[in-house]
Amino acid sequence: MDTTQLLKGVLDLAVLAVVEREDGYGYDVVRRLRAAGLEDVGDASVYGTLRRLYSSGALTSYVVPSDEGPHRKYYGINAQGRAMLEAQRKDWNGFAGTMAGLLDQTEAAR
Amino acid sequence: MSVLDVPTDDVTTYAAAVRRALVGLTAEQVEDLTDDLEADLADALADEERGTPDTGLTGLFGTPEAYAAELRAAAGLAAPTTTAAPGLRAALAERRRRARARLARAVAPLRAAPWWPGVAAFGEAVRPLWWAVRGWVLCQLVLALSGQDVRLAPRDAAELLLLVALVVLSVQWGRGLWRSGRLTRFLARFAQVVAVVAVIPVLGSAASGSTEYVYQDGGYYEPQAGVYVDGRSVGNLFVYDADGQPVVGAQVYDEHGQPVVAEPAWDDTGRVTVPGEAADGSERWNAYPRPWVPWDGGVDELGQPVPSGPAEDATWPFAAASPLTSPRPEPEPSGAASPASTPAPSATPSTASGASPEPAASPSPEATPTP
Repeated sequence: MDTTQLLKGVLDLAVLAVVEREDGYGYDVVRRLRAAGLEDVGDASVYGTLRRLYSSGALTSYVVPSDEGPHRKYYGINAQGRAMLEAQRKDWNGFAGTMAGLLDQTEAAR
Repeated sequence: MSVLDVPTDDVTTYAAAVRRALVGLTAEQVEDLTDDLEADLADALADEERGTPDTGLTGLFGTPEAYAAELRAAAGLAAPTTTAAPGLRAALAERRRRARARLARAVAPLRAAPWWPGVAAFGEAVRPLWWAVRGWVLCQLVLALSGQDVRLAPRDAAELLLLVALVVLSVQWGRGLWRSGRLTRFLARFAQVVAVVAVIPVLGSAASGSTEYVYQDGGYYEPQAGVYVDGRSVGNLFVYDADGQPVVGAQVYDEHGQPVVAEPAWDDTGRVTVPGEAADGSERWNAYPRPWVPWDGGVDELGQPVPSGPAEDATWPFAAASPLTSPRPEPEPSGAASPASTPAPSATPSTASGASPEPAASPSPEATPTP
């Protein structure tokens, strides 16, 4: 199925989780999300999400100059971002459990 | 991971189209959203050799407009409605945001123009030059504030050091390092504005560098009229002859035949100095010492002070000066002072030796000043 709609709700959570593991720049985060299985994630969505999380104070940002290529803006998680990630992780687990239960019931009722 | 060293034309064009599609956001927001865009696009392009035949970037990412819309939505900038919290700070922020939006709207037609990407790319390319110039301008401003005049090149090692330090600072900042604290951001922005405002005047004065200023008493003065000794304006002159005796009514001229005119003086008791009077009744401003007259502030129709009492002679600084050692030229030698009788050492340099001043007290007619 098209997971684009589903992704929208949890992209913050996914991005926070990826960045928590290791600091990364825009396309790097995209690549790691895709490698984790979120094939349909849109580049622009990820970049926008990174910017928004940064402006809301959940991420830190720093520029790494490079000799060959262009300079890269890296994002890392901070305390506020970790707290946000923790809260959303709980929400997600609760929601996922509820959905799983709901879907099991409907399947059992068939 | 390898990136393309230089973004391809495709990437540049696509990125420019995305920026154009972000119309309505402030320039700063656009910059913030897209500062890594070229690099990200190039990365993705290099990575996705797989499913991109020849549809190019549009095949991979969709239209620039769709890309921009996605970027904007994900960044939470889709609906630019503001819910301004009350308070001065919020009001100021709102006002600033509106001004930026107006500016963005004003330049939107430019950004949408077909030549914009080319111009923007050119601007991007010369940005490092501006960083260096910015450092130089700030250096000149610092020097100017400390009383130095503006020069193209540094004069000594200290100035060179300051210049290098500021240029390095400016370039490093421009390269995006040290973009952390709020204060540093503010300072950098302030320095940027100052540099932008000052670049033309500083360049102008560095290029001309012709105005000569005389530094006096903590202020700048153009060379001006009057007589100055040791930086102080002189109000009266006292002439002593070769024997050291006071000369009353001495008329003083310079080497060009111009009368030497001191600025009129006044004192605490309300007296002013007045010029001498020539035989024909005209004023002689180069006749010294000038007498004092009491003055109550009245002026005549020419704006000259009107004396409110009889003139008084100026007080001589010394009753007599030390006489000159060398013989003075004497058209009618008087027996009083023979050269041999004045051997006393004198602090006065013997300026009269060799010189042969005109004995006539009155200068030639053409040199006579007319008021």
